[in-house]
Amino acid sequence: MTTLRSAFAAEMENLEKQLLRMGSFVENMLATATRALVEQNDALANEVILRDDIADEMDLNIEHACMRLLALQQPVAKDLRTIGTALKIITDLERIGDYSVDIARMAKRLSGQPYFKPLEDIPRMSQMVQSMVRNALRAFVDRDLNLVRQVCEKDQEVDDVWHALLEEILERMEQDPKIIRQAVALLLVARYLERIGDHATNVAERVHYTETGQLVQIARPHRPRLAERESGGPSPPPS
Amino acid sequence: MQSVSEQRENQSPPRTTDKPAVGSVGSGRWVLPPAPARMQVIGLNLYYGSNQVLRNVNLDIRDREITAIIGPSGSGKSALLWCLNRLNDLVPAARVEGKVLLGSEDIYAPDVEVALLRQRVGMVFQQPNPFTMSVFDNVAYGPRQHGIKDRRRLEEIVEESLRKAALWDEVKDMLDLAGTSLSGGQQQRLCIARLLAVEPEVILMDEPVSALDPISAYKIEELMLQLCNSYTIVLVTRNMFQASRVATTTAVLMGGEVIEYGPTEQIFESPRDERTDNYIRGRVG
Repeated sequence: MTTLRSAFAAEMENLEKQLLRMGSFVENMLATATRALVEQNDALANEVILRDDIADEMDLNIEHACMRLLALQQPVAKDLRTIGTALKIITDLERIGDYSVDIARMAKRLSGQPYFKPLEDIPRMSQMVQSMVRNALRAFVDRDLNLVRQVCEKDQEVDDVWHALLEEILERMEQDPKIIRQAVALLLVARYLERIGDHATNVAERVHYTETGQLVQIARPHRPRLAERESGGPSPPPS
Repeated sequence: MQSVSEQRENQSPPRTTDKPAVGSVGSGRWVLPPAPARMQVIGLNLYYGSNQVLRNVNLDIRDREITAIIGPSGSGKSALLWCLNRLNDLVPAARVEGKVLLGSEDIYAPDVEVALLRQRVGMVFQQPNPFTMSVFDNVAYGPRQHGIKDRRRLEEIVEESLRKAALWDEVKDMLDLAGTSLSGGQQQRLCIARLLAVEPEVILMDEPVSALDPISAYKIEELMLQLCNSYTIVLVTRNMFQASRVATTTAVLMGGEVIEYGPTEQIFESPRDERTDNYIRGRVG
């Protein structure tokens, strides 16, 4: 298949490359922020905070490229869906960058304080959501709906880790109120990671739309939260 | 075929169809509410001599909406349009199989008066073709042919038709001027006014703006969107984006076949047929 619009095709290809670049950039911000937290390394945290401006600039550049294509090339069908998707997912990627900065700031706040428990779940969650971001973007490039489904399934696992961690830390705080400041900070980090998982899932759902033309929320089966499992019924969300 | 007077009586309230409502068009997010079909093309084959131009075309033309027909050059778009008011009768060696219903009447039935059919289903061409007579006489021509002689009645019809064609304000002080002296866009609107003067049910438009500058073209598009509240419009266009701007439903014709028909948004956002996707995205081979 050849295209009669080779300049347009080249611009579309370039748009995909820009998206991939932004995706791997924010994924790297997240990995670095997590390392800064685990290693209590202020320099790494500062690096992440500085990189936020670059992520924001990438966001604006891609938006500009999309608007230009819409205005000048009158894209239709798959091309139109790809550009619509790009416009949506840059917001998700930009938010992932912001959460990474939040984690880096938290790392700076916690640096120098010994953790009240070894950091295991948070790095694990971070690995999980990093792979979600990576796979969602790979799904976009490879037009791979299996990867889309995997990302959505992974989000369930991330949610499970988050709820289990929430329960565990609440319990520890009840036992020892002196840890509350640090525990709340770590809970916030876990919450940011859980939200990053949601953004990665949004990206995957958009890939599904690009490929099929169907705007759907990919089914995420409801799994009872830990508190629900213990009490046998739904509980109000933790405030 | 109905007589003119019968037809006029039937137009109040305007144009309820004899056909039962057709089912919804489209799927997923793009389902259009059911609408009656003003015209139906059923199993239509068209041959020019031994060359088959249309192949088993089935199409509902929804009442008081704009249906666009798009497709590559030579796909049979104009030929299909011409079948809808039997202009193909004028093509030597043209042969039609199948049915085209207007309401419930087959326009290819032997007893059909073709002149009356073309009054009910009028055509606007690519090149504006006003008669070489005054603006007034251009619009009054049809009603006069149908026996209306009363000057005041004719003046009413001319004013009403020119108003509907969004031309009245521009020409009301020069109705005696030759129609051919107007600008291209005005001439096209004059041709539309001339059509409206004989109260058609369906307006066929064959590339109506491709000879016009962008501003005149937008005026015609704007006019089409107003007219489709009262008239059924079928638009053939090479300009896909004109179809996407004005049409409710779009049919994609390729090699004489309708390869896809559905809500215009669906065709341009998520076409079901890969050939449509490739065509509208400019991919070939």
